[in-house]
Amino acid sequence: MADVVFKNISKIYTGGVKAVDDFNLEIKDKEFIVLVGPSGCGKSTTLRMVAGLEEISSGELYIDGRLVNDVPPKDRDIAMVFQNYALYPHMNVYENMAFGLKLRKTPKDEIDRRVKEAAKILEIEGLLNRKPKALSGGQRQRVALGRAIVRNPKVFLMDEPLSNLDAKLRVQMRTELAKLHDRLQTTFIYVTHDQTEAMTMGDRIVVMKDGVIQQVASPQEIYNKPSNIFVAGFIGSPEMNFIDGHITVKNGKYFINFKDINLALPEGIAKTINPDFINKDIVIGIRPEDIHDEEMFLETFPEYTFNAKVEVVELLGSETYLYLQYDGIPLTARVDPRSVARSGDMVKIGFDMNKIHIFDKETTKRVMD
Amino acid sequence: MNDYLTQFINELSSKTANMKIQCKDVPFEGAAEERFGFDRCYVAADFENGDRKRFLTLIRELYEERLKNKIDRAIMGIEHGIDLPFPLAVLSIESSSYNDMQDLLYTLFESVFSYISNNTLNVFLPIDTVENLEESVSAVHESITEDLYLKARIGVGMLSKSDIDLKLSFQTSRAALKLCSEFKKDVVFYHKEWLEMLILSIPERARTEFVRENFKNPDILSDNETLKTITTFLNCSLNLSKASRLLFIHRNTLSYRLDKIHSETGLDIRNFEDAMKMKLCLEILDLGQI
Repeated sequence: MADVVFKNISKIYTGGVKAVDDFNLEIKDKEFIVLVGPSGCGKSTTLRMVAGLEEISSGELYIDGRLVNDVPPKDRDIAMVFQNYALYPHMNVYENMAFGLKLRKTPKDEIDRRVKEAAKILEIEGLLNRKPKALSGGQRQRVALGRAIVRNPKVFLMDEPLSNLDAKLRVQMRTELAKLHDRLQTTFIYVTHDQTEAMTMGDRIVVMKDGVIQQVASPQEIYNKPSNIFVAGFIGSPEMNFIDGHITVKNGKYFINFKDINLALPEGIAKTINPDFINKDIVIGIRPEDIHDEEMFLETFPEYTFNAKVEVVELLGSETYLYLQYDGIPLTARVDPRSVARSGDMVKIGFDMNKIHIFDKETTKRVMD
Repeated sequence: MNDYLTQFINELSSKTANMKIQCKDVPFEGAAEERFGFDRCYVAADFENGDRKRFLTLIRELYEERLKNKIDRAIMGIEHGIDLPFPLAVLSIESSSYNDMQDLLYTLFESVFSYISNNTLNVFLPIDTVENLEESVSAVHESITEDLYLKARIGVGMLSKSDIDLKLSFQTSRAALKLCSEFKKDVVFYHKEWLEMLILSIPERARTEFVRENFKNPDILSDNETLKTITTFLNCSLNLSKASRLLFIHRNTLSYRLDKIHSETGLDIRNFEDAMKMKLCLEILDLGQI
């Protein structure tokens, strides 16, 4: 159990490539923090700096209050879990889990106690005598986790540990990992490029791009109040719709305008907008689930509606995606599966203006609270 | 115990008349387990504890030096008929420190032999199948990172089934190690990289031209979901049902995505020829020289 503090951490590779730039973050003891971002954003490099596998170019890194920049990796009391979860085929589960401790010359009875304890936590006690070949993907992943647990580390570092599992198993293991965190009560630093994993597992999410932190917040806040266009587009699937437009004010009432459309902003939302951006170039963001085609919404909020052409309808069973077009603007809507819209139709749609996001076109930053 | 080790111990015993050394495959009274090259055997020597340890270390080093020379000569093709535990894999490992790594290997495997040559650790690992080899090497790489906290690159040569193949196994392990930096990978298995090596043998200009002519919009690959859809569909041998199951999406959704990929790239990967072009384009782009 330990807190991890990054103070102005940077990583510059030979040749001047800046992988991580002025990274500042305080990870609390027992927190489950997720670093998320596209490949090359510096999230794995950040994790590897915590592990000591990458040297820190500048800044200070503290684990449990101790400056660890120059502490050898083996003395940092951390354990890593990777995506490969490769196991030794000639060893059984017990031996695979015990091996790291054996290498550290841990006494046999201590190894036995820790392996059995970890097996109990992971519910794999019945598999200890099995060889890896006789295990399913999920069971193998648990053994890999077991190898880390037996070390009893202060901090768990996980680098895309689920990315080699199939989609179904990944969903299952997400829950398992969250439960494991609850049981172990240890600090978890988890790296993924998968926004769903980030949203479902983290106490807090760190969104990164080009080595720079874009936003650190709870999953809800990241989703509901993205700090810039990148975060807004990266989190959420299908991604948020973005439309170039303006904010205008007529008779004290706020409107957003794009093409020939003027949609009134609810007073509560208008109040949160930075007035400096009135009549300036802005980007309007609206999530697919906040575009509606159902009668009730259209009748209740006629001032939020306009007509768009349906280009493609994607039926997913529990929901339907409408790929729409309005005067050259592509829009994606996530609607009820009972929607009657078909490809080629002109349909009336409505934006839920209470869920609108507004960004400065120039800086891409959010301009509302 | 192999014949070579038995012969070595007998030779040593005959030359040291006042010291009694006994070495067997099975435990016996007064014997301790020792490692000599590929073998683990039970040795008894009539020495005081401290001297005994020093003496055994000395004879192990002597034996392993001889074994190393024998292997080196076999690799150079000047010695034939070397008796090693085949099938055998040759690994070339490049890292900043090898002492702990050798310890790790000897803890991990019942039978393994390694020595440093030209700043590279040569590892000779008896292993029965290619499948086990792939899994074991991946696990070794993970252990090097997780347990020793070292960065390492591993080149794995072709599995040698007899002494005749040993030279080729060694050469291919060195070639694979070189490819690690080319492919920006930590582990390269020579037998798995045939397509990449074939592509590398094509002049860079011809590769660039091939992608330009066949792949309309490579930018779509920056979308992870699209890339995943393509690779999963190709890996499932163009089987729509299997790929949609693995992607956890409906068959019709996958069909729709493939239509979209067709219109964006100009390649309909449901068609074998286009799928082949896509695979080649992906590999070329992956090599990152365009």
